[in-house]
Amino acid sequence: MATSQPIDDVRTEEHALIRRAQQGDRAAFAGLVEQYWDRLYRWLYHLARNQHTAEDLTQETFLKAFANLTRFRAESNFAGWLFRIGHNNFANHYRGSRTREPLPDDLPSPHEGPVEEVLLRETQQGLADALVKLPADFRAALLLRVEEGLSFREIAKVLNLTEETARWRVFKARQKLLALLTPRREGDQS
Amino acid sequence: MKCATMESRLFTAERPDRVDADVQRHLAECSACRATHERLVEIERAIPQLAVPPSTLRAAFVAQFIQHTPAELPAAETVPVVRLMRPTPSVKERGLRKLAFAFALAASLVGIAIGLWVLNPGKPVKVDHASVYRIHLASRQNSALTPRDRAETVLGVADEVRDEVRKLAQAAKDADGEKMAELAKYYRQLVGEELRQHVRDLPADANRKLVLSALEERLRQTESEFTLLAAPKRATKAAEPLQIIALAARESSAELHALATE
Repeated sequence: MATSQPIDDVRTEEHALIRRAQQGDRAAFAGLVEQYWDRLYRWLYHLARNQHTAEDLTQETFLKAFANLTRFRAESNFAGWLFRIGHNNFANHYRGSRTREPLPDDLPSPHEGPVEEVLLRETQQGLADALVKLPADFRAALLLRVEEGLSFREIAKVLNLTEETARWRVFKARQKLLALLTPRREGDQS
Repeated sequence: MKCATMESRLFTAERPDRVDADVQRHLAECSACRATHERLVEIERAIPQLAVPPSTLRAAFVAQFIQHTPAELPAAETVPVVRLMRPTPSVKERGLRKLAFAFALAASLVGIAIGLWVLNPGKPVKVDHASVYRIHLASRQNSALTPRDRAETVLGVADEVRDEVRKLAQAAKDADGEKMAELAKYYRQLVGEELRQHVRDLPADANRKLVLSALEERLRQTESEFTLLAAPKRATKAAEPLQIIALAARESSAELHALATE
């Protein structure tokens, strides 16, 4: 979450947008959409592993957020609140359709390039493959920690868990990822 | 510190790249743990760099949202029923069509509402609580190709509406009374005329009875659950919406039962 503005300024600006949006200012809410769309979409994409499902869920999340914005308390964490709605949508979607996790989309195809780039892409593909192998619950928690920088307490709120369970899920996700990505040495037991 | 303790502290740290002095001392002495630590930090730095397919809908969503936020929608009964029959499109095409269709539907619904709102500029914006489900239904129906899919989609959305009413009733906040009432009416519309339309289109084959019975069973469960839920809420604002849902589920299940035994 790199930002060039001091965090306090960003928060003040965000709170101002939220207050205006709570009074029905659509342009202000659109500002929040602009700010959070990519982050929310990216997280939902990692959960759903399908571009169109992730986009549908992102849209729905913003519509529901707008419909319920008067319930949002100004002192709360807007990102956490929004991601919680997104997670509920994701859970409802898969519960409702009773489907297994969809097959992943093909990622943008690699271009020809220098050896380092090819190696980097291979490493990234290996990491992406390993991430996909994590159970969705672990993946959701880990990504909120690593990509969104949420604390365990905030992750717990988003995923409706206790703080300890959130911490445990991140622990398991890290443990599994390392196991998947660490090459076995000769002589290791399978 | 033992290696197992180190690993546990490392994996449960909020920031593995900022470990405390104890862990640092262990890392300085243990090459295996140092390698694990370096690998973990490297992985966590790489995750935000992973490529995902870019989302192409943000700009269109924002533009449409500013112009056509669902506000005080007209009565649900005026919702046009549009059914698109087409060969299976590509995934990308389906996504774009779904978006276009959803926005077209939302736009057509809010036209009158915006006019009303403009006539009452002092009045605060009132959000139609069922609009999310209407858009959701339109979006899903667009990719439901058979009458059975369409009937199951309608009941699936109805179940989501029902679940939200249940949750609101359990939270028991007076402020939610209006929302529950609105959602209950939308549930009645879904399991009534919407569902009826699609079950009538079910082909008269061996599966018809099975499909009807499965839908009927789901509605019976809702009826029974919501009748029980409504009883202790008699004196609250939740009672009427819960009863509306129970009654709508009963009427619809009876209708499906009659169709199944024809």
